[in-house]
Amino acid sequence: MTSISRRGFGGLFGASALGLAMPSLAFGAVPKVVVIGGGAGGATAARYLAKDSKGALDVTLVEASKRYYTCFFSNLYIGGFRKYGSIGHNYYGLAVNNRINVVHEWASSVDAAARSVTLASGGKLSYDKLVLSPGIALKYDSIAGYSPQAQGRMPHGWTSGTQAQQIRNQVLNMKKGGTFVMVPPPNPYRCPPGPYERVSMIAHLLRERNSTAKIIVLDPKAKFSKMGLFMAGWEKHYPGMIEWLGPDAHGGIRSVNHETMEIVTDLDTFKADAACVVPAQRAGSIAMAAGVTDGDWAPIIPATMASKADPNIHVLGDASVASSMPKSGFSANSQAKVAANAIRGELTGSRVYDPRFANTCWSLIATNDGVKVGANYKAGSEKIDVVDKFVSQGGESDDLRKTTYEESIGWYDGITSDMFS
Amino acid sequence: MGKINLRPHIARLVRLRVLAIAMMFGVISNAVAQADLANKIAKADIGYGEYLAGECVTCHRKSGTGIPQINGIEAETFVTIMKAYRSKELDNKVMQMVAGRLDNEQILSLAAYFSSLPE
Ligand SMILES: Cc1cc2nc3c(=O)[nH]c(=O)nc-3n(C[C@H](O)[C@H](O)[C@H](O)COP(=O)(O)OP(=O)(O)OC[C@H]3O[C@@H](n4cnc5c(N)ncnc54)[C@H](O)[C@@H]3O)c2cc1C
Ligand code: HEC
Repeated sequence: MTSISRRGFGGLFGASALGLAMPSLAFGAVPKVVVIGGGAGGATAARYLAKDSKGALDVTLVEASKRYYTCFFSNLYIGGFRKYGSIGHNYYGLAVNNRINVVHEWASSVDAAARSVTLASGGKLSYDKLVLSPGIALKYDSIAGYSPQAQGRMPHGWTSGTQAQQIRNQVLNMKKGGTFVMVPPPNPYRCPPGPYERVSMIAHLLRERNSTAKIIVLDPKAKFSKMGLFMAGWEKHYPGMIEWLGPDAHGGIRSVNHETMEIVTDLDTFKADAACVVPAQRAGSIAMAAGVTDGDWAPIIPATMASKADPNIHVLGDASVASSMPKSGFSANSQAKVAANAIRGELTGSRVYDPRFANTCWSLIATNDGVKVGANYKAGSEKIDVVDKFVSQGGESDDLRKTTYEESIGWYDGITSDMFS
Repeated sequence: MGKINLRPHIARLVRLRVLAIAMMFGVISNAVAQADLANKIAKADIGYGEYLAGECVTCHRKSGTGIPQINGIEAETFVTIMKAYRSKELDNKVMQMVAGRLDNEQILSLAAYFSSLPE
């Protein structure tokens, strides 16, 4: 690393005297940044790198899918509050408005020493800086009996796309008075309130069409995000419908069987008419392949989101160890801007500002009953530290809950345009 | 136009009242102070404002419902509103937190940036 990357953070820094020493770049060459993963973190990073560098960086985005269906608001789709098409986004804006080279391929490996990425087709991309925002991979073997095969009948719906459609369809086709079983994932996982928003949306759908049906939540955790708010909301809107069982009550999840639709716990076996099973998670496989993970996730330096293992690789979003931030789309978007600012500074000598992070997660419990939790953060030396935080309170007025829901709709349009426009 | 679209307008009226009260009771006490503010905004670091705005545009976008659009907002109004969120005179948990960690210089930079954008 050169002196350029040793500038401190926490204040405002000028770019004076940086023009001369660009690390390892041929004079006059446009530095190359490759971003892998066009989701909340990667799309934002690519867009800010391209938009703010105004041609001074050559930005390539590698994204396997041609259309990104957001996980955020996929629960609202399940509940019938969104059309499926409204949560899908293409890469036109990034390619055309921002002149990013969008490559729709799977990145299969990274040669960190040669600074090169190999694509599934065999093609190669070289980089000065690599940004990884591959999201999560599922640890299928974290639950005995669960597998890519089992997910056909016991969908997880925890990576974007068709799985959410399958869950909605299963709920709609459940027999009268049937049982839906939800198995939330163990910590850490993407979107801490997500499983409980999902339960709420399934309850909403069932109350309308199949009001004698039951939902059983078999949670591997003893407590969860916004627990009091969800529990109170379930009691209010769906009395008697949802039974939440923590590890004290079921003793631990032992196995699942998608053929018999049984979920076996230490103390009991539950038979489901429809089920959603979300296994444990880890960083997307390309983070493993790049050698930046320690265990399941990739540790980072908070001020720049650079990998602790390789200063030329930045890891964003769910794949990173960004505690105290939760794994969320909002967090990934926020981290992307910090990383883009640091990368531009290093490669082009642009001004590097104090890193600032934020997150807010809204959840919908029932029609017009929205709650939120949020915090803002600063880069500590070892982790990302909370500056300030808030959470919705029990007993808020119906009016405030409705406004909170409306805010979430504004946020959805805001973040998706910040990622893709 | 249904009920939902009215809400931002009502909220905006409340804000204008806060602005008026603030002006009466001395946040912007007189013409001298107002000229001073305009002068500070003119000198503010707009590039820094653009960077800071990265945090805002996750929620605030050019048009739509749910969250008001702030592009092209008049700079003095912006400063007054942000200070009112910071002091919690204006009531919204998210905005109180956002404004809570902005110092005066940062609010001025953001004012310079957002007021420079087309509506
Ligand atoms: C049900 C649910 C509800 C949620 N609700 C919210 C919410 O309300 N608010 C919120 O902020 N967050 C929410 N989230 C969390 C949010 O979706 C994630 O935290 C966010 O998407 C993380 O962004 P990311 O960039 O890390 O990964 P992703 O957004 O998953 O993007 C990763 C992308 O990388 C691509 N990719 C991966 N590996 C490769 C490779 N090797 N080659 C090419 N492409 C690759 C994938 O195709 C994918 O498009 C929710 C999640 C779920 C499951
Ligand atoms: C998490 C979402 C979110 C973020 C991030 C956010 N805002 Fe807001 N903002 C809101 C909401 C919601 C409102 C409406 C609040 C109300 O009704 O009082 C609002 C209102 C405002 C208003 C008043 C607008 C008007 O016409 O009444 C201004 C000005 C504003 N925000 C500026 C900012 C700035 C500047 C930033 C970044 C530093 C920012 N906001 C970040 C959600 C957000």
